[in-house]
Amino acid sequence: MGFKEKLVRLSELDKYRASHLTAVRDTWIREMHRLYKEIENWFSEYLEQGYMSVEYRELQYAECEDFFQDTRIMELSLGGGVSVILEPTGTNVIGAFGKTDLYLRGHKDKKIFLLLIREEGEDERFHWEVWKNRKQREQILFDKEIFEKILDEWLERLAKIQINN
Amino acid sequence: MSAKETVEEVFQMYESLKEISDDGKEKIRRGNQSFARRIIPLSPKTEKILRSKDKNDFIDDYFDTLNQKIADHSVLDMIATFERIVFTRIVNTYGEIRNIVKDEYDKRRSKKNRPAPLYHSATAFIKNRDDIRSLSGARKILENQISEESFENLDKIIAHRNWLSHGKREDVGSDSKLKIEEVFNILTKIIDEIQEDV
Repeated sequence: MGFKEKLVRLSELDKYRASHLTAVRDTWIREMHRLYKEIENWFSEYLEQGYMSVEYRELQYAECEDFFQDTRIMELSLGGGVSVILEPTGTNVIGAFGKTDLYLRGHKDKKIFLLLIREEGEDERFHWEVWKNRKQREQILFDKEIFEKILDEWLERLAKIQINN
Repeated sequence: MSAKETVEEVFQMYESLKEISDDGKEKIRRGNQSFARRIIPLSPKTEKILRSKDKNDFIDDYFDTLNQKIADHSVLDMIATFERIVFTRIVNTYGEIRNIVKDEYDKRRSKKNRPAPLYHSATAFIKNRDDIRSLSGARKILENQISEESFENLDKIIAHRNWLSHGKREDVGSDSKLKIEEVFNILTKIIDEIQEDV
């Protein structure tokens, strides 16, 4: 391969990498928005009745500048007391397209992960899974039912902590 | 102190720091202002928040961030300690293997009692310390020694370490799904596996 051909090839590779990176970032931003919208739909009744409220705030950390502008931390206030935080961490993660931390405010050390998974053979289809720890063998789809179950467990645990204190 | 105990000590330190942080949070939540001033970098803005109804949210967020930093630093410390242990072991093993090769190859003679080919260079056929300067280099040596699962986990830990130590960027290393307790368990298991044959 001649020098010019090498240059052309390098340049094409660079263009491909840049466009791939842009596509990954766009997908991540789109899927985060979709997740937030879905959660708001799941709890629309409680939101309308005022038992829950949603706020969005700026990320504290992001793996690239675009994410500061286009993604937010979701803060779901439950009954005006405790808050549940969804904090997107980004796309550079082993075993998933992207990762979001899910935790009760003030208890980040007990966080669990929401993993964005690309569906097999489907370039543009994704779903979210819950990841608690390495012992977890089965795939847990993140849906309204499982989210309610997680929140319920956390509220129970919080009540126990408050009683003990 | 055994190799495993050294890593355990780092994990224990993480738990101590976490406990101190949790206690500090409780003190501040209960309104200990002078303590808060010593712990949280206060500005006129944060002073105002600490007197408002959003006080507890602010304290929770502050300590969530602090605890995350404690965990990140502890993971790095634990991996650095593990790396030190592995390298000591590799260097010692290297010395032993080098001597065995030198002695045994030296004994080989042809029928005419001539030395084996390249016998002066026998030890040059062995990897040396410079070939395995980093944990990634040591990883290759551990491949046949530790279980497949541990080897895969070690890969994730190395990627996670690189990601953490380079500022959690998108282009260096990778985040993993491992929590600090899991990193600790994996590293101590690997130490066990390395130890077995010693």
